[in-house]
Amino acid sequence: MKGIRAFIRGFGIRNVKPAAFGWIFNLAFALIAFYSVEKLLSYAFGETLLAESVTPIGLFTLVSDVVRHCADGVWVIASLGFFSVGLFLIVTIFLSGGVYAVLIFDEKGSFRNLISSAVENFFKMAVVFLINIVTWLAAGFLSLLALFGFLKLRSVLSPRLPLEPFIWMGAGLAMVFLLYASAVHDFSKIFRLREEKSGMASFAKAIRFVSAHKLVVAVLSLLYLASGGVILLVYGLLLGSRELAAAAPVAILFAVYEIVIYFRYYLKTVLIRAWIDIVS
Amino acid sequence: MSKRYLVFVLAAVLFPSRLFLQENEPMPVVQYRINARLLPDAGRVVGSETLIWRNSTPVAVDELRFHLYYNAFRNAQSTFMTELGERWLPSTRLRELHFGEIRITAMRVAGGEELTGKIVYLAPDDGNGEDRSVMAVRLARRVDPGASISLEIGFTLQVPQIFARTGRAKEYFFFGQWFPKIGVLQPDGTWHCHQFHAHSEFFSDYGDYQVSLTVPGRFVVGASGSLVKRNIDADGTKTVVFSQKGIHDFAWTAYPLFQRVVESIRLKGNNRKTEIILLLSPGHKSVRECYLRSVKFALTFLADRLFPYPYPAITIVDPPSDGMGSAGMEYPTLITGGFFPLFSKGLKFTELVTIHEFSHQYWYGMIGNDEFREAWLDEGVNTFFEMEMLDVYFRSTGERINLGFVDVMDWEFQRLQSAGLLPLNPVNSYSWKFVDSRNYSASVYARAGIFLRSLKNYVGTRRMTEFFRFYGLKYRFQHPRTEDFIRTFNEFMHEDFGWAFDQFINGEANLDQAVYSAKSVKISNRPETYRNEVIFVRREGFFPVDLLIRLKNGREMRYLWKERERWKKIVSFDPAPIRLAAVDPEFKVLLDRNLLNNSRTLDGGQPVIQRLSAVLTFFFQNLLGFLPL
Repeated sequence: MKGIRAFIRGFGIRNVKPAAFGWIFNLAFALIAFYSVEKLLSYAFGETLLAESVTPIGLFTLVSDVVRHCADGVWVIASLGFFSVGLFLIVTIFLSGGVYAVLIFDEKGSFRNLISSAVENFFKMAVVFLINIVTWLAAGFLSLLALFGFLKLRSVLSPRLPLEPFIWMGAGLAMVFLLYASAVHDFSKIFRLREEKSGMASFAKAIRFVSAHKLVVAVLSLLYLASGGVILLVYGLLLGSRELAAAAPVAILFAVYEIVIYFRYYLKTVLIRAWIDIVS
Repeated sequence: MSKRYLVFVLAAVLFPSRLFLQENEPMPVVQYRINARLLPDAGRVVGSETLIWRNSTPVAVDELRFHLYYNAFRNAQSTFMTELGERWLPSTRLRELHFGEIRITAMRVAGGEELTGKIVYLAPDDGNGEDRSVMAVRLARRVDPGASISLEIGFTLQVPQIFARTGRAKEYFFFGQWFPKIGVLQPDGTWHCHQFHAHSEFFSDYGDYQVSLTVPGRFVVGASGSLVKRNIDADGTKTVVFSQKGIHDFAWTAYPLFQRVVESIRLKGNNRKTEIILLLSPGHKSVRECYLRSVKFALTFLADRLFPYPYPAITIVDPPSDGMGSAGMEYPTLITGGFFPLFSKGLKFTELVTIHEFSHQYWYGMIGNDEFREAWLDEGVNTFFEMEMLDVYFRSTGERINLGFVDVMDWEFQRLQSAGLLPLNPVNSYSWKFVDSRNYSASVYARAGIFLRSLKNYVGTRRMTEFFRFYGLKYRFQHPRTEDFIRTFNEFMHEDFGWAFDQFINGEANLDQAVYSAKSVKISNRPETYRNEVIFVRREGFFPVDLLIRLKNGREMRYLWKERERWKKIVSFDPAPIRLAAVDPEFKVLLDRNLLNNSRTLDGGQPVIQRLSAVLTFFFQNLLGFLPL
C-alpha cells in the first residue's frame, strides 16, 4: 500500500515541466534524426512512384533496395545514429542532474532551475552512472544465468515439457534483475544529491535500501511498467491498426508519437517522486 | 493450347490413376530389400541389403559404383566436410563432433562371386583421397544390356552426432543417405555416381523399396513409404516393415518421444485417401495444427496445379530442438519440418519449411532431375512453387511473415537474395562449383525462383500454371534436364525464350532497367503544347518490359518494350506535361535488381518518405527513452 500511495502521490501538474525538460532534448535529437532520414530517403527514391505508394513492392523490398543501392548514405545515417545515442547518454546524465535536484528539493520546475541544477550536478551524476555500470553488468549476467537456468530446469524435469514457458520464466526473472538494477541506479542518484555523500557511498546505500525495501521497489516498478503499458494500449487504440496509421496525416502521426514519448518521461518523473517519497 | 497438352490434361483428369500406373509407371531399375537393426546405446546400425539392379542402358558393364554417403561424416577431411568449411563448422566445434561411418562387412553376387575384397574407393569429382563416399567393385562377369544382377551386401553404420541432415541427438535418430545405394548408369555406359557434397546429394534411379527396421520396443519409427507389417519380437524389440514402389531413396527416423499423429485427406483425382503421418517432438504441441494445415494445403494446391500426390502416405518428421540439424529436408514420401520456439509464430518457419519440403515431393521426388548438375530444376522450380503457394496461403489465412517492424511476403525474401546476387557462375552449374553456400543458395533457389516468377508475370499466371502441369505430367518419374525444360517451355508457349534462359539460367546476367530522364518543355500556349521526352535505359540485361508515361491531365501512354536495345527515347507533343514515367510500373519483372530507378515523377508528393521518416524517428526516440534518466 505504501508503494501504491507513493506512486499515486507522484502524479500531478508539478511533473509537467521536469518531464518536458527530458522530452524536449529527446525531441531535438529526434528532429535531427528525422531530417537526416528524410534527406536520405528523398535522395534514394524521392522522385519516383515509390515515394507516393509503396504498395506494389512492399516496405521490406523498398527498404532492402534503399540499403543496397544507397549503402553509403545508410552507413552515414547509422553512424550518426550510434553517435547520437552515445551523445544522448551524456545528455541524459546532464538532464538527470536537473530533474532529480528539482524533484528532491521540491524546487519550482522552471527550465532555469532545471538547467542550473543540471550543470551543477553533472559530474556527480556522471560518477554515479559510471559506478552503476557494475550493477547493469551484474543484472545482465544474472539475466543470462536465469535464462539458462530455466532451460536446464526443463531438461532436468522432462524434455517433453514445452520450451516456451521456461523461456518466459527466464525472461521474467531477467526483467526483475533489470528493474532492481534500475532502482539501484535511481536511488544512487537520489542519495548522492540528497545526502551529499560520495558516489560510492551513495551506491552502497542504494543497494542496502533496495535490499531492505524489495517489495515496495517491486510494486513501484510494476506500477511504472503497468502505466507504460496503459500508454502503449492507448497508442495502440489510436494508431495500432496499420490501416489507421497509414491513413493518418503525417502531422497527426508525429503528434501522437510525441505525446507517447512525453508521457514516458512524465511517468519516469512520477516514479522518481515516488522513490523520493519512500526515502523520505 | 497445344494438342499434346490437351491430351495430357484430359488423360490426367479422366484417368488419373491409369495415367500414373500405365503411361508413367516407373520401370524399376533397382529393387532394394533392406534389413536394419538399430542399437541405440552403441549408436550403431547393423544392416543387410539385397539389391537387384537392371542394366537399362545399351552398354554392357563390368563395374558397379555405389554411394556410401554416410562416410561423408567419417572425418573432417571428407569432401562434404571441407565444402561446409570453417564458417559452418568452426574448428572448436569440430573437435567436439562424434564422427560416423558406413563399413561394408560383406558383398557378393547372390549365389556367386565374392566382392568384399574388390572394393575400391573413388573420388571422381575432386580426387580427394580422404573421401570415401563413392565405392566401386569390378565384376568377373559383365552385366549385359537388359540383364539384371542381384547383390547381397552387409553393412554397419556408426551414427554421427547430428549437425547436418543425418545422425543422432541423444535418443533421436534420423537416417538419410544411410545404405549402400547404387549410382546411375548413363546411356553411354559411364556412371553418374558423384561424391557426397555440401549442397547436393540426390540423383538415383526409381525403384522398389522394402525395408525392415528393428528397434527397441519403446522407439517410435517413421520412414519413407507405407507401414506394411509390424511385429513385437521376443527380445523386447519390434520390427516394422515399410514398402514403397516408384521412389528413388529411403529415409527413416526413430525416437522414443515422438507423438504419432495420423490424419488423412482425399485429394481431387485420387480414388483413395492420402494418409498424413506427423511425428511430433515433445513440447511442440503448439505447432501440431500448423504442420497439418500446411501439408494439407500443399497437397491440395499441388493436386490442383499439377497432379494428385500418388503415394498412399506422407510422413512429416518434427525434429527435437537438439536434432534441428536434420530439419528442413526432403526424402521420398518423408519430409522433415522444423520449429523454433518463440519466433515460430511470427516467422512462420514451420509453415514455410513444411510447404517447401512437401513441394519437393514433386520437384525432385517425382520429377527427378539431377541435383548435382542442375539443382535449379528442383530448388529453383520448388522455390517458385513455394512463393506461389505462400501467396495463396497467406491470402487465405490473412497472415504474413512478421519481422516485428514489417510484414513480409515470401517472394520478398527470395527477391532480396536474387537482387543481391553477384552472378559468378551460371545458375545451371554443378553444385560444388559455386563460390560459397550463400552464392549457391542465392543462385539456385532465389535467382531461379524469381526468374520463373518474372516469366510467369510475362506470360500470364494461367499459361504458366498450364505449362507446369504439362511439364510435370510429361516428366513424371523421369529425369528431365535443363534442355528438356527449355524445349518444353518454348514448345508450349509457341515462342522462343532462349533470350531468357541464355541470360539468367545458362548465363551470368543481371537485370536493371531504369528511367534515364524525363522532361517536359512548353512550346506553345495556344493550344497549350508540351514537348515531352522520356529516355528509358537497360543498364544490365534484357527482359521485355512495359513502359508507362502519364501526363498531368491523366492521359496515359503504354508501350511493350520488346526490342533488344540498350535505350529507348520517346518524344511526344501533348497538351499536358509529364507527371510520371515508369519502366515496369507494376513491378512484374522482379529480376530487376534495382526497383528504385524504375520511375521518375516530375511533381509527385512524398507521403511515403515523410511517413517512413516519422516512424523511424519514433523508433529512435523510444530507443533514447531507454537510456537511464
